[in-house]
Amino acid sequence: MKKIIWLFVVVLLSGCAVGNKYDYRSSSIDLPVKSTEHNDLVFSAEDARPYVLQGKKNPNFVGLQRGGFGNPFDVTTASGKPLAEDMSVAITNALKDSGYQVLNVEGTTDFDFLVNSATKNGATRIVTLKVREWKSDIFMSITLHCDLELKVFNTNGEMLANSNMTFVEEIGGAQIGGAKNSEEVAREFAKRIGYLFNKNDIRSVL
Amino acid sequence: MKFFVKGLLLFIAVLLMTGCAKVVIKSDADPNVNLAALNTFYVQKFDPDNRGLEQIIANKLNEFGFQATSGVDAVPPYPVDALVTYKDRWMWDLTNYMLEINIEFRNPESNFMFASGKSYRTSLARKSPEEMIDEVIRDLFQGKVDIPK
Repeated sequence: MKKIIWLFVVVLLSGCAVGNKYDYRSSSIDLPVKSTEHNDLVFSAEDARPYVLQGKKNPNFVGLQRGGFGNPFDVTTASGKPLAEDMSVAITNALKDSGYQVLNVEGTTDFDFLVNSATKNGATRIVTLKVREWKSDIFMSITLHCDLELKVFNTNGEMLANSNMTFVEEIGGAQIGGAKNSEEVAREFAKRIGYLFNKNDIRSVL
Repeated sequence: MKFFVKGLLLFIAVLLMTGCAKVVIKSDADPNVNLAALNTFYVQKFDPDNRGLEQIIANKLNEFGFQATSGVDAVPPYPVDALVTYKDRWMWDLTNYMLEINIEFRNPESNFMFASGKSYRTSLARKSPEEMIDEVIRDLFQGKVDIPK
């Protein structure tokens, strides 16, 4: 009887925290830019999170969900793909919705390759997103760790504009269930990407 | 054994009840936008809302010295600095109470959301919709605009 009760306690304290997955790929992002002069873009997202580069976490790691004692469990992407790839897909779709033709270049941080891709495909702008940090930490509330850098280059490789965002913030109360928390963080991601693109310098060169 | 079970039940009860008095008042704004430059607002009614919250939001903005109107149309009837949209959530606990309200400021031309705020109050911390709307708008403009106390 005691064993059953302890098993119940363990499940109660950690059951909802294990195996959560968040969907960033399907994020619906409203961008404050519209295709006018520069219709063709190359876009690339780079995962520069130190703990991923050092191999301490997988590229599909997106944050922590804590059990009843605050004990952390890893949260990963719903797609199973790397976070940078999911972000890339979401942002590319948003740019396409804004009228751009976008070549999404995944899996490379080689800038010369991006420049060559742009030249080959007739793109006039290269847009890069560097993810130095993106991690949600959920216990009673949702804390978001963010360090993002958006840059726009021309096809000569010259940087025309950049936009940065760094914060650690409690963005709201934790929801019951992984799916609701997934919606919450995905919505926050969409909002912050919108803010990154809304800088005058970025809007004026896209 | 009896003592163990009673202690366990008490522990579970405490865990479950800590969610009954949670308050979150939170807002953020695009750092590229100057909220102090906003003066005119149009509050678009949230379709499922039948409590007139759009009017309460507009009245609160007017109280704070802005010029605000409300309506059901998605497009403001005249040029404004910001389109205001909102979503409310209600729960029942002896009586109905507003659990959460999210208020968003949008560019009226592009519909881009550049500022948002929320008030989330569980049952034991409940307040009236007017008070919750008041605290969201105050939090949005805190440090940027002088709001009457």
